[in-house]
Amino acid sequence: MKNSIYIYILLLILLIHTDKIYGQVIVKDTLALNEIQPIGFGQQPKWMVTSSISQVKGEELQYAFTSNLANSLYGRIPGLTVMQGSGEPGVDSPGLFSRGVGTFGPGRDILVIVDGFESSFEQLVPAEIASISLLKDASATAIFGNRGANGVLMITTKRGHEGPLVVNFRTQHGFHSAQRLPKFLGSYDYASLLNEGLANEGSSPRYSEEELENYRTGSDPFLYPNVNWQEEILRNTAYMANYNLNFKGGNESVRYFVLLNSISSEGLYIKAGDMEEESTNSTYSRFNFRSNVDIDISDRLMATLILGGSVENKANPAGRTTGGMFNTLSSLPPNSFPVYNPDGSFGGSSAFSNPLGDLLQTGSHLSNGRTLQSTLKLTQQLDQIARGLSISGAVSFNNYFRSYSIKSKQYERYALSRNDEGEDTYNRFGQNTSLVGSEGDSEQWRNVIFQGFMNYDRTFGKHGLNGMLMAHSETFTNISSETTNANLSFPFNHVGGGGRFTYSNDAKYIAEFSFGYMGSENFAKDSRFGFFPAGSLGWIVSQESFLKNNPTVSFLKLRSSYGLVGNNRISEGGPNRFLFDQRFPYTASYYLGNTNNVVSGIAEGPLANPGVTWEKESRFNVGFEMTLFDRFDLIVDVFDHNRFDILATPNRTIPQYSGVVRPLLNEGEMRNRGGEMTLRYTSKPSAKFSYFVEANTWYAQNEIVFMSEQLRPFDYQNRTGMPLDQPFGLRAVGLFASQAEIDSSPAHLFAPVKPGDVRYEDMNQDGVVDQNDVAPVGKPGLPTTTFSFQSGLKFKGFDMNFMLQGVTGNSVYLGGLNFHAFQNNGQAPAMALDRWTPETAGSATYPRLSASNNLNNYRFSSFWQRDGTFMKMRNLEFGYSLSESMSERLRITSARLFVNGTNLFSLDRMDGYRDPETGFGYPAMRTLSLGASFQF
Amino acid sequence: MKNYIYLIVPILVVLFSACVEEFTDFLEKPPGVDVTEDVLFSSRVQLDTYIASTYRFGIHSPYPMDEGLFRPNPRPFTLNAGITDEAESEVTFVHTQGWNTASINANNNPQGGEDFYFHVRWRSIRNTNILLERVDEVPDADESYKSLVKGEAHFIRGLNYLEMLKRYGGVPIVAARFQLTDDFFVARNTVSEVLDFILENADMAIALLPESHPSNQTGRATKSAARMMKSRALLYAASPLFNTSQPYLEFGANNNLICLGNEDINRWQLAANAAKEVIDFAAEGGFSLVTDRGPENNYKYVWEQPDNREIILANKIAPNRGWWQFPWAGLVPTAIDNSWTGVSIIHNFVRKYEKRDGSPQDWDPNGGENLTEMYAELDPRFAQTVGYNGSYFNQEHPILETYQGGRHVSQNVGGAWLKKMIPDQYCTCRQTTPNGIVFRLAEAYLNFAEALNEAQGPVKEAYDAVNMIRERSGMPNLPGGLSQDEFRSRVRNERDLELAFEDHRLWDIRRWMIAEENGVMQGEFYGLRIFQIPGSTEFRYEPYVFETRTFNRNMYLHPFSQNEINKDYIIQNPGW
Repeated sequence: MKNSIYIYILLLILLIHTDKIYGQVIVKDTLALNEIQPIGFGQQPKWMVTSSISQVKGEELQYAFTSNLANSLYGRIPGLTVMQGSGEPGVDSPGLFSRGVGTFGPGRDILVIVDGFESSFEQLVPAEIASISLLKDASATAIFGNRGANGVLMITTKRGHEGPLVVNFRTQHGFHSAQRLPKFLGSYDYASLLNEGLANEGSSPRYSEEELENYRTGSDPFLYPNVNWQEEILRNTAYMANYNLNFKGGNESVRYFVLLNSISSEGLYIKAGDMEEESTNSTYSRFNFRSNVDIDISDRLMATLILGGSVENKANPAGRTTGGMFNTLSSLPPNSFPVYNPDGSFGGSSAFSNPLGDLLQTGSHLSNGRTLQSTLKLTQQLDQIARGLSISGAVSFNNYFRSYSIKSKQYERYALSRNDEGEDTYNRFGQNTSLVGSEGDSEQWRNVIFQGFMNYDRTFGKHGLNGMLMAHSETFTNISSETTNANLSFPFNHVGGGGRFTYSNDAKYIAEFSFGYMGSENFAKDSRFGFFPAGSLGWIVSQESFLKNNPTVSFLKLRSSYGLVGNNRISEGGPNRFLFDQRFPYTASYYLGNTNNVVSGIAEGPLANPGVTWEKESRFNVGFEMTLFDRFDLIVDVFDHNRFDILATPNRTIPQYSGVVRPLLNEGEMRNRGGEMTLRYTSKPSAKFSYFVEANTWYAQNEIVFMSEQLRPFDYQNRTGMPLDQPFGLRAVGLFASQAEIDSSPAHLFAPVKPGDVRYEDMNQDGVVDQNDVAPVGKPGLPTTTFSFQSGLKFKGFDMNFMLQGVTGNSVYLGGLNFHAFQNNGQAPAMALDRWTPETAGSATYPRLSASNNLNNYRFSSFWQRDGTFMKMRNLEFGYSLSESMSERLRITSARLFVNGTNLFSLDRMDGYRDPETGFGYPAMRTLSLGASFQF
Repeated sequence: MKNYIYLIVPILVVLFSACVEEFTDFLEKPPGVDVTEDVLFSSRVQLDTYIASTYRFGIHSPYPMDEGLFRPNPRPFTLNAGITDEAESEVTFVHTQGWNTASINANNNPQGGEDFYFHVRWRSIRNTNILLERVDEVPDADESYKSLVKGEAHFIRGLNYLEMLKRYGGVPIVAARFQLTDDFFVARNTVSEVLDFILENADMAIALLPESHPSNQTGRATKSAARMMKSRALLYAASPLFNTSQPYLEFGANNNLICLGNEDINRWQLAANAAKEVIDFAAEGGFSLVTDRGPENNYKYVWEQPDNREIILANKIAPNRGWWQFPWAGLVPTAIDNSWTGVSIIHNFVRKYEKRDGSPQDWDPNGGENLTEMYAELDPRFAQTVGYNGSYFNQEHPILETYQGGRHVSQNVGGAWLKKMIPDQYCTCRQTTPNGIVFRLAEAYLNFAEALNEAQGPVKEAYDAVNMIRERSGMPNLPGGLSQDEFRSRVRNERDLELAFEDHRLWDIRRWMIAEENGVMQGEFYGLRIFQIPGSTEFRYEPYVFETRTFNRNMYLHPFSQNEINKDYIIQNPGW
């Protein structure tokens, strides 16, 4: 048993259990900031923290009504950029980035730690969260060794407390609806514009005047259909509900927190399952439970048992997710066919199936997922050896499993046409089949983690000494029924440890050293372990005599940190795993003999990199925390991160005559700078009218310093020196106004251009516009700046809370099916009405229409880019709490009724055509709800 | 109870040392499915897989193949014939157009996409170096197996250097594998050093390889193949492009990177000797000229029938390819099967065919009304090479119609389509095997005749060699009493016709340095417009200039890709 060491530690703790007691736990100086702050593998009182950590409390997360906990984090944690994704219940994970992105390598994900162990957190509910902390600087993350460089998001769940049982019950019911759906033209406009596009190309119109008139009047909805498929497939609102019940309490020896939660959310699809029993309604539901128990087995031995889990069910007709359907909705022209033909059959064509038919007649996709997080931790005080000494051992099993149950079938649809005699004829596509089941798909991850700790915490007069040493091992497996690469099914293993030593003097000066020492299986035997040290200093200026009892400055702490962190996720996706081994992954066969017998050949892959190592990052952070007049808080952090040893292909160094496939070398460098600021004003808590206002902003700007980029013909084509994921495209300089302008401009080589086409800048001034003129345009999709403004107020029984969140420093691309008219035989967006025609030349915002694919106008260019700046009302809640007397009469401790709005509106530069974050597929959702909470 | 406490420290020490060991195991890569180099050299069966990939990388087909996996550079979609006076490609997006307009450069589509194998050649050379380094370690390999593998490695290494010599001149000699930690700098070696390296490898291969292989192993290198390589290398070295003190463009101190530095007539004798050696020993390996199918069929049989006895080495990477796949998609006209591009044979080439009596054909520059008759009078190899108006193409297109208004005239500029390289077997109804000839015995006779004439003048042996080739295709012997210059032009013409479309012409033009002659790679290029004559089975022809091509002197050798030059290891050829 490889991890027997940890079992020994656990046994040891039991073995050396004695009765003798030394002294008392150290009592801290009574600073205002004695609140406990979770830090990596431990906790500290807030005043002692010299790292850069932002935190949000679980209560604040309840203001967002969402089935995914990550979607309650918008604007909440300074330094954490949250990018909204799809709004589809169950698959609505946002992107999470700590201080932006620091690498151009594939491993950019933040490390998520739940109660000290790597796990998932999006399935948790706000009611079970004590706090979520973002560990940002080297001092906070070095202890995570080669895993901390992308930042660490640390979730702490609620624990019991000594006291009588408190029961909380809360329920919330609401409706969500799409914030914005793509806007497309109806049949008349579609057909007229298509004719115009054809005319622009010199082709004859597809629709006659008579046909256009039929579309306009809608007199024959079968032969001249005008179907708004979004209306046929989607509902305006869908129901969502949550129930939460939790118990908290304990006595001297046992403390507990127990929670049950049930959330359900309907999808935006019409209720297909109610209409057709072989289909299903689109639903998502999840049941969560948690049982966190602390037990004092003896005076010196404490056990902690954490058990949290969830079971989720998701159902969709016509596909595992809704992506395919939304793609069809974006491309299916409104006049293709009616929903139903006159004889009641589904309309359809050779190119498109019927979206409604797909929902009702292609079966169902159900899935069931389970998450389990379980941890046992024992802590033994060892005051008999040295006062303040303790050791702990912990084991944690976390896993997730999801299985899919698919029932699928096909169905017939018919294209209707009318012959010369006026008879309807039908042309069949597809055929009816019966349901076929498939149960083989599944995905899972699981890990087993062992940890051992030795803690020392003691005060000698003015001198506070805290020490911690820990050992850690983890094996993580992530596979699905689609995993075919054996190298991917192997577990990801980590082993190592870390330590932290904090010295404080008179609660005034704080010095801390921490380190991680970690190895992982992805590297060659001699270079598996890395050492990641960090140091930090803090000075609580307000403790100095010259500021003590100062009426203005209530608290002032300066702090700074510097250190090294690592990122071993250099092999996301698989092929780069075990780069230290020379692989022979290619087949290169030859045929011999007069019968051409195959001799299977094996060829060398990219040259092995025996010294391959993790990405490293040096981090400098300086910041201060200040409180003025006890009311006004200001927290500022500034950072400078330098990532190096990023894997890059040596495009400039290894010559082709070496005969090798170029390896990936640890050569890349990237720099990331920025900062965070929090401003908060809190009224006196005793005031009748109490309130707070808080403004946050954070900024991170990265730059590729070195990526061994191939030499490019023109300097402006270089990725080096640009931010990560800088878009490269043509620079549009408007629309050609006339043939004369075209004649006097550089030749556009992509396609013959006419007035009304997009004109591009000739970057290299060689007289032609071609692929060589592709240059940086706009900004990356990841915003550099996030800002948020939140406020809460209470007056008598009434309360109100809201959060505005916004970003800037990013670009959004209006491309693809939803914006480019008639491309790939698709439909036309509403914005195409503002197209260029000779008459509208002055005001047109959309290029000349083309019925077929236009290789000039729809190229990736700044023409289709918009400033991504937005401000969104993330949540707004009004509540009313029953007065104490009323509550007493009802024999409850307290009760509150509230009305909540989540994602109410967005102010942005998209002109209503799309959401600035969620551009395609299932839309971003707005939720309105009512709720009540009771405490007993 | 308290006594236990004193046990803690020793217990911890023991446990700690125990777990260091365990941690190491814990992070070990599990036994996996990955093949390693050690596995490849663990048995003959395993090593055969590595040898197969070495052949795949190292023996290149004259056909345009679609080698996706090994293709970091833009690839050619058609034959190099369209660069020369043999043909014009049907479409302009293929690599030949850049050469015809002299617009190839080192940046865009290096080498005009012609040498898309550049990187793959070096991979094959790396393979051969590793084979030579480690083949002795294979436990179950006997001496004959080892010498076979070593011989193959030397052969493939030499062949790839020969392919690069003719394209670039001197290139770096890499005779051992690179490790990641090595200094990658190797300067370009001189033409003379590269030539010596090729000859050295050829001699090793001749010594080590067998004369022949059993029929289930054809496709592997033989002594004859190595002799052919040596013959071709020496012929190229003796030719004016390299055999000079004054290269095609002045390159100062680097002249020896693009030529041999002196003119030495003895190089022709060496080339003749090497060609003679091929001819003399051909029978040992069972190779001989095909002469038993009749003059109207001998020639076609050679290029159509895989593994026939005249073929000394062929590329065998593709047993079956459908009409939509390469090479066929890059050879068959779109008017026949809707593929990528066809190859149109141009009038400049057709003009080279003699009449069956050995006299030149009288093509009227103003056209005539007897095209079918004119065609019928030509050298029998014409009908076995050219898909001309009225000829048989395949079972689906038994009569080619390249007259104006005909079914197969669309996008045809030359008046005819390429038939050679496309077997009669080819059709959309089945997959067809491309017969990718690298070396065949007829080349040795032509090498010999050419070299001997240069070394000694038109001696009898030179006549005999050319006449062997002419005779088996029903052509009369060359007239006696030719001067050296006359003999030279006859033997060059013979080579042009006999080896047409087998990827010789471009290299022959460059080594003879005749690219700038009108109608070779520069100047006016003629096609035929063909018209039906109402009421007659005859056709009217009308020569016309379909294109004026440009050749710049720097094109006598390829440019290296600018990306490689930018790495600062090798220097660019002059003029690029």
